[in-house]
Amino acid sequence: MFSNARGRAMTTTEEVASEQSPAESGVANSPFEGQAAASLAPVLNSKDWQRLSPLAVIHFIVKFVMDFVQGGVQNLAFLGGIVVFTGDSRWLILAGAGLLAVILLLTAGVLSYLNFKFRIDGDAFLIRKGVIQKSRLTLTFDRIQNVALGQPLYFMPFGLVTLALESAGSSGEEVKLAGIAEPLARDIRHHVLSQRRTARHTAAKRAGAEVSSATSETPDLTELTDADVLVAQPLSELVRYGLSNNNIWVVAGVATGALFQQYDSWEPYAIDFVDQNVTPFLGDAPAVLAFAALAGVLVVAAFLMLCSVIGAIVVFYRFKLSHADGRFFRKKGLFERQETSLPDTKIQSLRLNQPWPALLLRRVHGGIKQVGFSGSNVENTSKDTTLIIPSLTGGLAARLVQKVFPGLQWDGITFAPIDPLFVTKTLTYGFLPPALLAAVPLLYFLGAVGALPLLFPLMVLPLVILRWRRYGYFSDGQSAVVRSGLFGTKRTVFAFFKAQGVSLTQSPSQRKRSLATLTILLAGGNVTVPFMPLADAEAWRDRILYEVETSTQPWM
Amino acid sequence: MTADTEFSNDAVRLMDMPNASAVSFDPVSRRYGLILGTTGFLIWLIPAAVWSGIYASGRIESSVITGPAGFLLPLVILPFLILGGMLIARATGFALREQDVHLKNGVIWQTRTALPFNRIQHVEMERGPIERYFKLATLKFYTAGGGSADMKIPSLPLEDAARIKTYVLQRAGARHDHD
Repeated sequence: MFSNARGRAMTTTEEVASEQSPAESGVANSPFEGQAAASLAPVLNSKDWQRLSPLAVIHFIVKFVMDFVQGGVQNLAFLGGIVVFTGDSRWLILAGAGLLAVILLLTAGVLSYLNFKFRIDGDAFLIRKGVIQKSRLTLTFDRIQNVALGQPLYFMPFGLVTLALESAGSSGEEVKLAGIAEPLARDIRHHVLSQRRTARHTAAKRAGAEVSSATSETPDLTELTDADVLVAQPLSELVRYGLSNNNIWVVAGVATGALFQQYDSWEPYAIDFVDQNVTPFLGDAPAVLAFAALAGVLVVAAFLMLCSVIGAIVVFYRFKLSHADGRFFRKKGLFERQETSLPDTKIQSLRLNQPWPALLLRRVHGGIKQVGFSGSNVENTSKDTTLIIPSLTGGLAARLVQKVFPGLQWDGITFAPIDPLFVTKTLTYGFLPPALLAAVPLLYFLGAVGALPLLFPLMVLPLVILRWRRYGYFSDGQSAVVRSGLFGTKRTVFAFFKAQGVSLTQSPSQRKRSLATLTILLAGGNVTVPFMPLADAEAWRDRILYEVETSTQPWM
Repeated sequence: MTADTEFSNDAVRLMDMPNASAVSFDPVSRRYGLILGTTGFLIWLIPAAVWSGIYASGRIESSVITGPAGFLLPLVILPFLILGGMLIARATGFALREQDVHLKNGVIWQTRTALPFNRIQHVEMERGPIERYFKLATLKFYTAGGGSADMKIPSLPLEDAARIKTYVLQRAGARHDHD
């Protein structure tokens, strides 16, 4: 297996030199639009496989490292464990591991680069990639949803970019050409999108239909003016976003969980640390120690907030959202400028998120959800189908809603409440069983004191009531808004005709009281309304089916 | 929007929109209960065997469970498995309309799901070993909504499953010829 791969690598290194030169010379000679097409010619007309720039090796290495970091926070915890807890040989062990990692990464990067080839054949992109698990992909232009360009920091000095081909299908079909010259990337994008348009044109003509979305298919032909700008965020707004989005607390939660999983291994060292560094200065009065612990937690929280703000600035630096020709355009990024465009037809839902810190800062965070993936985004590896619009004022949020759902009267919305049975059922099914489970053995061993856990459902009662009050739904027959939340709120706005399916679930008590839990399947994530009056739920379902089945609009 | 698109229950009824609550569901094969029971029985065999092994080795010390009767303990669960399978099968039904497919399932939590044909991405026919023995098939419908199947109609007679699949795919417009 391995020797086979090497043999392949040997033969293909020679091709690199011969193949790369025409593309590169094309780039060098074509700083202008007109000549830029020359860089495309060798790619288009050639039956030979093209390669990325050799510098793509950097990209592959970065990608491996990122995958490793994301996939194994706990592995990193172990690395940290080695640093802290191994004896004198720790540096030797670490250096050995580091050296091994570098060699492995270099080899893997070079092999990945050598095994990545692409070419354009007629109306399709052909890609071969993979070192051990080889894969061959054929992406026809009409299945390419979008072509996104991005420029990571390490490509900036070389004028290279990444070109992500986004398809409607499964994420296995995502393709990223990392490390091609920028003019070539722009030409490929132009070519793919305009070819796709002509293909749609002819197909539509054959069917005798009007092509309404023709202009929206060619983002490169759209010149953006300042009038098209919907949202442009200054640093102050990014700071607000950093302070008020919940992501950092989710990360902190995961990290805490990981730390406590390894509790046994670090507990004695932590005790030693406290004994040696804390108690000699502060004494060991419990109140003082508790205060110190609280201060420590606050310092960590402040540090996390700072990280969050810095992260927000790095990711969303000079954020600009424009809308023109039925398409959203977004630019952002400090180290890596990313431009993405998203046609209106692909929008599946709009989410307006207001976690409680954002409530205090009076801002709302928008998210436009679409089908499939939108590559080229580092921050978007897990929830890459969302286009995030940070820190909107109420007015801007209303403008955004109006852009996406022109028919919706956003200001006139009154949410209908869900049934109060939600509170009782959440308490009896969600909180009473664990309380009982805890109380029964405690009663047995401790006597009456053991009944204390039974107060737990009562303690969470205000929270459950809060959650119940946050739920709300509204529809004007074409679009709908569903609200949920606990302290903050989350509102999801979507058009009925974009739904993929509907389901109604009834428990025995819901049947008795004519209630139902409605779930609307959307391509950008499901929406659930619990304990909705049955008549409303059925009306929504029938209306959704009617809208979907009579709709002739494109939905993705 | 104009007043006639104002959303209320009355307006919906006035529009004479098809009411999905009125669809009559067809049952799936009567053998579905048998299949569920058999599957349950096969899974039950494992803990039952483990129990018997432990019990035979004499590691269980209890004042309640003594003597050879202890071996019969796992049998207590069997009737529930079979009854459960029968109930689940009786609660399951599907319906095809001109524009959508409906499924009802669930004994305690009863769910009714509807998928419009023009959102169905592809349809898959699946046959496990027990279903193959009974000449049945499970139909799985996928939309762009999620990774797993959005609707599963279990234990359809093979010919029916094939006919439904063709019908749905025709209705879905065969735009998605990739599987």
